[in-house]
Amino acid sequence: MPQLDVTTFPSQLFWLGVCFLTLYGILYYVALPKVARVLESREKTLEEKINKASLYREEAETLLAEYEAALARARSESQEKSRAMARAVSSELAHRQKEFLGKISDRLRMGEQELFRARLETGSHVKEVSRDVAQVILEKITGRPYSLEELEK
Amino acid sequence: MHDPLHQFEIHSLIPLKLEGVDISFTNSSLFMVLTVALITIFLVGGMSRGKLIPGRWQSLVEMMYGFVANLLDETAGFKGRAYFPFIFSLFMFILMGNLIGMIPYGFTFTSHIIVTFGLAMIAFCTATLVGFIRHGFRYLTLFVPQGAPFYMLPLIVPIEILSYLSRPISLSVRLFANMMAGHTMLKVFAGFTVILGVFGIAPLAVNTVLTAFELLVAVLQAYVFTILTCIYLHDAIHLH
Repeated sequence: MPQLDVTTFPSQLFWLGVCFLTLYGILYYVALPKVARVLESREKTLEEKINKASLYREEAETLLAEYEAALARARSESQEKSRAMARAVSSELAHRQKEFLGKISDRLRMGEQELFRARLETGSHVKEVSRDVAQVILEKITGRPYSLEELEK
Repeated sequence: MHDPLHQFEIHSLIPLKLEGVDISFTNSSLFMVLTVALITIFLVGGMSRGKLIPGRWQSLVEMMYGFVANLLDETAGFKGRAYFPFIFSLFMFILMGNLIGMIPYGFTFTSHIIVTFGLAMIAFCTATLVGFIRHGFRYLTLFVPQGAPFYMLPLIVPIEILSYLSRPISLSVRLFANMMAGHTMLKVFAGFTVILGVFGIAPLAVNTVLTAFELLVAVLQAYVFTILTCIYLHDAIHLH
């Protein structure tokens, strides 16, 4: 079995030591720092990007909040305006109604006066007619004309 | 028929001697150097552009990084982060060594007990050192389980010490045995395929399945080795 040939041991151990030390030196001073540097820079870059992303998100959120505030303001303003408009319209309406009611009551009063006058007139007419009728009736009965003065008595 | 163990043979490529000790550059050393080079190319090449949105290659590197970091975090806790480069090196070295061994005509240095023992000793010594540096001699209380009855201590403490000292052995043998057994089996079935001629299709099919299985084992054993090292580190950091 070649593995048990003791004469090769010093050489094997010597070269193992040399090779392993060389490998350790290369890895320790060259290869591993390189890997570590790349990994670190990647981590840093990722962190930066994440920070930036969160910054953008915050900005977006403030923008959204501003937009919503503006929207709410606009809505309340429009409501205010529409309410004012409604108030104006209703007051105008009330004014017009009052005017109209006033006109109607004027007309009503005028109509009543006319009616009253007409009734008065009618009353005087009835008197004359009844006198005339009475005069004619008396003339027919008595056969002689009656003057107005006689009839008044 | 080829000897199935032939693949584990070590032959010197560049003979070297240091103070009379043979430290020749062998095929095993070559594959260790290749492994280090491949890992470096994989990691540095994948991260060369370092894009914010990773491509396939970069994703793979990042996934490896994340996987090991997660593993360490879950087993050793937050304080284990300091040892991440060590754990990552260990994982990548074993994983790549196992995988490179799956290439035909390649050499699997993790199938050599002395290499896996060396790796286990690196992990073990690191954990022990961390423990002593963090806790000083209080680290020795690791061998005294909390809540154990006083009269049982003479029995428990030696067992604990033994189990602690056997950690590198179990670590190294597990990895070594898995890699060697798998590769030997692949070689045996490959030998059958050659011998049986037309009927070799059957062992070839088995070999195909085994190759997939071996890939799984290669990844799994690297993972197991790493997670156990993380657990030892956890003990060293938190004591209990």
